[in-house]
Amino acid sequence: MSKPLLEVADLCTQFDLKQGVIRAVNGVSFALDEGRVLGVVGESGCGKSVTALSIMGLIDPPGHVKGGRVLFRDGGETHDLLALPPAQLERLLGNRISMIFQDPLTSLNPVLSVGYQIMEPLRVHRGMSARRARAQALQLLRRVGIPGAGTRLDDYPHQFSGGMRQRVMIAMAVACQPKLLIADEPTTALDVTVQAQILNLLRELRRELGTSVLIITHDLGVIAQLADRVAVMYAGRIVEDATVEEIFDAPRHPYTQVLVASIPRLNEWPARLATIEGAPPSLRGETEGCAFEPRCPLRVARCARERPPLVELEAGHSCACWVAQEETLGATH
Amino acid sequence: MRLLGRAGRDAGGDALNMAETLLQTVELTKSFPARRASFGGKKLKNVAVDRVSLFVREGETLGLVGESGCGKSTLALTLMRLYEPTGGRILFAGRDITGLGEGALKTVRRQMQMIFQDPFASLDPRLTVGQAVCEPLDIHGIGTRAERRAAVGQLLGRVGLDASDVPERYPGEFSGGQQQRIGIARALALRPRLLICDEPVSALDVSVQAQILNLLRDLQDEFGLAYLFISHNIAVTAFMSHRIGVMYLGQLVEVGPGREVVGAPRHPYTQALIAAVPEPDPSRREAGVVAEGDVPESAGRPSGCPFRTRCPLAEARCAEEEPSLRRVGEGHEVACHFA
Repeated sequence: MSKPLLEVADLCTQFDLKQGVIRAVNGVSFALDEGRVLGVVGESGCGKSVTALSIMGLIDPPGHVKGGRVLFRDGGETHDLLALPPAQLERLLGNRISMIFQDPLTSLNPVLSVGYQIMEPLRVHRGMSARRARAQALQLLRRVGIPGAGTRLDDYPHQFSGGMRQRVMIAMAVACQPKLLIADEPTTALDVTVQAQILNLLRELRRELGTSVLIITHDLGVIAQLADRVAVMYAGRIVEDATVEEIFDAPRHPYTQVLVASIPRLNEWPARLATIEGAPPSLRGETEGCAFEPRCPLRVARCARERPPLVELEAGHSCACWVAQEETLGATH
Repeated sequence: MRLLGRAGRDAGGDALNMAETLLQTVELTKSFPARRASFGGKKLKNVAVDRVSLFVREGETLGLVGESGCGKSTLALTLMRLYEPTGGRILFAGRDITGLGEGALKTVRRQMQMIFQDPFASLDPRLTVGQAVCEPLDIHGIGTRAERRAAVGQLLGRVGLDASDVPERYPGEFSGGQQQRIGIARALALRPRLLICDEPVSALDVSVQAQILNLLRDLQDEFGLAYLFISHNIAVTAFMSHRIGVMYLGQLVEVGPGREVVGAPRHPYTQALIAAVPEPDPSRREAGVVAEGDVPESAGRPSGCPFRTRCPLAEARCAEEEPSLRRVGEGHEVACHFA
């Protein structure tokens, strides 16, 4: 099998604040195979967005990437994005790797027309003439489903609705046919009928262009609809990594189990929802044991003392839990 | 103690169907001052809530779902008379409260309280939690100081907060889920009969959301509370509600028992809304019928049926004739010519 398109190894990103160090991403490792969709899911503060921003080199002080590697393989070349000189990184971003965000209004420039903004990556990275880039931008607007695309190239972002702005951002992101698309909560700000349209569009584009997608969201519904593999994050670490089917049908980490069981589902009518007590921990100060231990219904003595590593329980299914590891691999582990 | 069966949430529900109507609206309308489409252009009226007639029985939950701009939050604020209605009537416990003055309104508001999406924004950051929960009791002059203090302790304990430590602390020291618990304790202080919940769990993480939803259901059983539960999340609303109403561009387009509205929706908009919910189940990925386009701005509301511009069934008639709600089953009404 060929090597993964994106390989993140032991990524650590921290924020040095007056009140102390926040370890937002604390040794995260995962791999995304070419043409696949990896979902990173977790609750607020688990480090999922910081992971995406770290990969893109978009962490600003007081935050900084403290360690790790981010290997991106493209046409026989392997780049470590964290070690790449800024000029080389710029050549990749918006070109071979692009990103879409939750709020298109903050990532689109309000004083430039959308046509100009879609043309920009084409001119910068592809060296297209203004005329060719404009024709290409028009095609892209049509492709992402903007009605009356021909008359809208010269409109400004505020003249579009939220769903249409998200389409414009997707058009920008896929303009250069990137190998990797990173989508951070791409549908969270949208209404449910518009969300369904955008999810369909992402599915189609992935099929057509063969783009690999790293999607970051708190929404398990979006994950179930789009992802092939899922990495579940809790308190800055990945606690479980498996195929989407196993995450939903046979989750092994107690946190994943509760997460999946606690969402209300249509046409199921339970008297109660599964819950865990408490809320996700603050990331100040490190505990020695498992970060989920204080809330865990299955905890044993060892969990408070020693942090469980992420270990493969069976092929393609890893879990960072002493109890699950003992169940599957025996007490010696 | 479980007072009433649950028509939508669980099987059965005769007790609830016979319970008395607590809140009722008759063609309730709220429009906002006009703006012009362009300089010197036609004046547009922004009708946020458009002739909505609904009711909530004692002890039951009516869920209201719809997308942004459908008027569900404006409806809530109009019911509380925080917005003045521009048409129609509001009846609470059989009494017309549409034109009540501030004095008389104060007694009604004792029985009708509200919780919000962002509990922190609705709590005064300079008041301790104890003061915030006690404030409604102070305003209404209920009990002696000692009694009020005891009541606050009880309320905080009931919503799952540590009553020995929490009252002296400030709202900013708590997580979102705990702040919502504080908001609920404050709303319950006056022992209301109706709680209007406007997106109460939308800002919360999944694992915390489930705690608050379970708590709200427990409190309903314990106190016989009625809820008007407003949310954009259909699965959450279905978990909470006996009956569900669906709003689109200010109008109620479908209302009925929860299981029917979710399991066998009749209005094309409700069908599109439910088909659009991303199911947390990777084995069910086929996309249903997805409604085209975005919700129009309410100022640009189409003639006739508000949904016709996005509706797969729309015909000429839909542009000319506005469908009104008609009965399609027991307690189930739909505003569509073809449903």
